Amino acid sequence: MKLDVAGAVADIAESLRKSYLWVRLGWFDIQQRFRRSVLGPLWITLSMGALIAGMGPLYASIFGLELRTYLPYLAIGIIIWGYISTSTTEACNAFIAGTGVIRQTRLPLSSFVLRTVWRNLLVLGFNSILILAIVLYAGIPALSHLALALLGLLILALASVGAGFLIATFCTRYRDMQQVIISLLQVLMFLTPVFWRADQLPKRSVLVDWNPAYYFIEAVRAPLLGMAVDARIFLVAAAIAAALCLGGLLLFAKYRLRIVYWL
Amino acid sequence: MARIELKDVCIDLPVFGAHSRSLKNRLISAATGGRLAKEAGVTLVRALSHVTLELRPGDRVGLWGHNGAGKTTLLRVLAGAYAPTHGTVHVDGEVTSLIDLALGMEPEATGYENIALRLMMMGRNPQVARHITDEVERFSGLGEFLELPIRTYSSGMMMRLAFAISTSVEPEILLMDEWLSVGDQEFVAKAEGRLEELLTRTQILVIASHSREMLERRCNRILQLDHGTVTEEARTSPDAQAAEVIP
Repeated sequence: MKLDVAGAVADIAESLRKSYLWVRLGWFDIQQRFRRSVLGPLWITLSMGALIAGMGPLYASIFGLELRTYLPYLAIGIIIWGYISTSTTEACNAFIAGTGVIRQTRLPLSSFVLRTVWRNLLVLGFNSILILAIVLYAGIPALSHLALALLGLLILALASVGAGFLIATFCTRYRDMQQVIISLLQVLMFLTPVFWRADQLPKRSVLVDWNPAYYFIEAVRAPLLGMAVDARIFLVAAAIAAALCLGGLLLFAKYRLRIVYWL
Repeated sequence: MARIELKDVCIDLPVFGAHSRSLKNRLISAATGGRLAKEAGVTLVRALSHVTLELRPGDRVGLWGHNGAGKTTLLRVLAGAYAPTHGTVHVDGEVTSLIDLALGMEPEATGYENIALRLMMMGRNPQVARHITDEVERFSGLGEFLELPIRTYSSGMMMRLAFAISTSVEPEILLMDEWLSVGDQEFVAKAEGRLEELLTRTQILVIASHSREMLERRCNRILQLDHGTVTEEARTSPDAQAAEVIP
């Protein structure tokens, strides 16, 4: 198989031109999930709210932290982690879910990856209602750093597009990979400073320094908590995102035309 | 002008068992120096073998052959879904596939939503193609039912909707798997008329079928497929010859 970067870029350009293929269909996926329920997609916000309301007080008392400061930390961490975890898992099925369509038409394959990412960004959007509410409750002057948090979010979104191409292509060929990824993500959730704080560790750990998820969570969380933001966090997150995008593009460029045969 | 050109096209379909798909087996076969390669190796089926074809406007092409002869694979190549493993494919012109009329439709979504879904699967922006919705509304005769989820439809109503949307676009190249016949008696006649009319506006038609008789009636070129190889038959039907002269 030869590396067809021009073909891959043309495929992505077509997806961007025909944005309805992922913008509308991504939104349709969300509607579809909550059809016939009265509250609809607001259930995303509600069930996440229930999780945070349950875990917040518990972990705050275990760690001996004040709820007012711990709750926003937990909420933002758990919501960003949820985005990372679900968009990664769903990327495994990006092409597989479109089997019928991909086998019969020539719609741009990249639109299937973008649809998965967009759908998860919409879920994140519903959850950010909670972030807003909790940050206001805690009285954090977060809005002054909002631009920085949005930059962190943009880096995260780009990273998940790159990772989406990598994972979707790889998981279509090797069907065991989805299970591997799910298992790894489960462990990673506890190894990442989502519930606990990096400074609670007795000494700086590899769990923090070598954990890519940490940089993405921190790039959104630190500004929203009104904490001093380390430029290094943003640089590392951007570097990982760039590497994922490059890797994703190359893998897609190499195997784009084979994907239909793996379905 | 629509045009299709296939040069020496081969399609090898990999058949994956549970074994060859797992990375573990890849690793084992690498670690054991390939002794298990037979188990890990991917079986390839040659679905099309060195096909060379040229289709031009006015061509009404019938694909004829047994089950597994490669008719569907060839249609998928023409639709642009399968990239050839060997050889080259050039398709100029917008391809509309009527292979699966209900492709992309969702039972829980309403009739109107499904019009949009189906149009998107055909590569049309539903926002731009508003007039199609009105047209489908009129032709399908489903009226207020379009507000309801299509899971509530009878199978006849479902087919009417799928048919109405799928035939609402302006095709340059039309692909069909068997001649379409849908709905109750009244609708069959209506559908037949619409399909005939669609065909007069189509530059190239490719239709796969088991029915020799139908192909001879409708087509001016008949390609016989056998184990993935294509041979063109001499044109037999007088009608088809007439169509060939006039175009």
